[in-house]
Amino acid sequence: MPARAGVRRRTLVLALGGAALAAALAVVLSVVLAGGKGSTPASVVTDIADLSGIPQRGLVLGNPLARVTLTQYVDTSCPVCKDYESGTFPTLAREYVRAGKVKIETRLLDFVGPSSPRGRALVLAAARQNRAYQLLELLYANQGDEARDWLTDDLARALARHVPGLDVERLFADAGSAAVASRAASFDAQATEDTVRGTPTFVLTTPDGVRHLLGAGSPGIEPFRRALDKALAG
Amino acid sequence: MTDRTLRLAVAAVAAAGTGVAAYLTWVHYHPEALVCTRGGGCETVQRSGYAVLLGVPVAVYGLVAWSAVLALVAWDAPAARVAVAAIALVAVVFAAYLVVLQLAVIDAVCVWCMVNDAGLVPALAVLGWLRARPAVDVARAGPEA
Repeated sequence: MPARAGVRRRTLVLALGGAALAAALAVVLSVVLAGGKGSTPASVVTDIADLSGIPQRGLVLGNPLARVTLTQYVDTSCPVCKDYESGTFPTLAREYVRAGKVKIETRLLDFVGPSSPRGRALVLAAARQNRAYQLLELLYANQGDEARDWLTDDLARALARHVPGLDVERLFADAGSAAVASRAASFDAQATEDTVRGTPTFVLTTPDGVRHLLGAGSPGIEPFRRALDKALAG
Repeated sequence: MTDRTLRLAVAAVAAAGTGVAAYLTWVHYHPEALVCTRGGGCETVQRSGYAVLLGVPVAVYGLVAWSAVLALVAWDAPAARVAVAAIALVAVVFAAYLVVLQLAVIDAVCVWCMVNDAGLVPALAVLGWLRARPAVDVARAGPEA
C-alpha cells in the first residue's frame, strides 16, 4: 500500500515537526516573557510592622504575662517566612500582641540558605539588646534569594542602623560570641522536640501550658485568629 | 520487551506524571501550603516568573500533557502512539530547558519539578519512542513497504 505509507510518512513528519516547533516556541516564549524577573532587593527597605510600645524582652514580643504563647520557628532566608512576616505578623502584633493577650516567641533555624546562620546570629545578638523583632522585620523586608549569600556585612550594618537604639558595634561583637552560638544550637534541639519539619512552623501554648503544633507555612491570618481565639476562650 | 509491557510502562509513567503535575498545580494555586524544608528547598521555582507561561502555570501545561498521554495510551491506535511520541518530544525539550533554568538561572531546585523533568519526562521519551518505532519504520520504508 504505497499511498498509505506515504500518508503515514507525512503524518509522522508533521507530528514530530509540529512537536519540535511547539517545544521551541514554548522555550522562546518562556525566556522572553519571564526573563529578567529578579528577586534581589535594589535598595534597603525600612517600611516594617509598627512594634513601638510593645514590650520586647530577648526573643519574646508582648506582655510576658500573656496567657497564650505563639512560638514561631523561622529562618531569616526563608521566603515563606517573609510572606508570613509581611502579611500575617503585623495583624497578629496589632490584634493580639499589642492588646496583651498573646506573646510571640521566635526560635530561629538556619538551614534554608548560606545567609541563614549569619541572619540567626544577628537576630540573636539583637535580642540581647531587646531589639530582635525590629531587626528580624528589616531582614525579611530586605531578604534576597535564599540560595545566595545575600546578607552581607554591609547590608546587615545598613539595616541595623535603622533600628532605633541598637548598638551596631555591640551587635556585631555579640553575633560572633559563644553565648549566641550556644543559644542558636538550643533552637535546633527545640525544633526536633517540637517535630518541626520546615519553616515557618507555629506552636501554640495554651493557658493550661499544653503545647499544640499549630501548623506550617503562611496560611494567612484566619487560621491564627481561630486558634488564638479558641485558646484565649479556653 | 513486549508491546503490552511497554504500554503498561507508559501508562504507569503517565499516571505518575499526572500525579506530580496535579500536585504542582494545586500548590501553585495554594501558595499558603508552601513550607521551606531541609533538602527540599522553598519551592522558589514555583513562585518564579518562569512558573507561568502566557498566564497559565507551567504545571497546568504538564497536567494537560500527562492527561493526554494517559488518554492516548488508552486509545492505543497507531496515530495515538505517534501523538505520544510527539508530546514526549515537546516535553523532553521543555523539561531540559526547565532543568537548566532551575540550576543556572533561578538557582533553586523544586524537588517535584525535578522528579518530573529529569525522571518521568525522559522515561516517557524513551518508552514513547520505543512504542512509536514500528510506525516510524513503516514510514521510513516509504512507498515500497
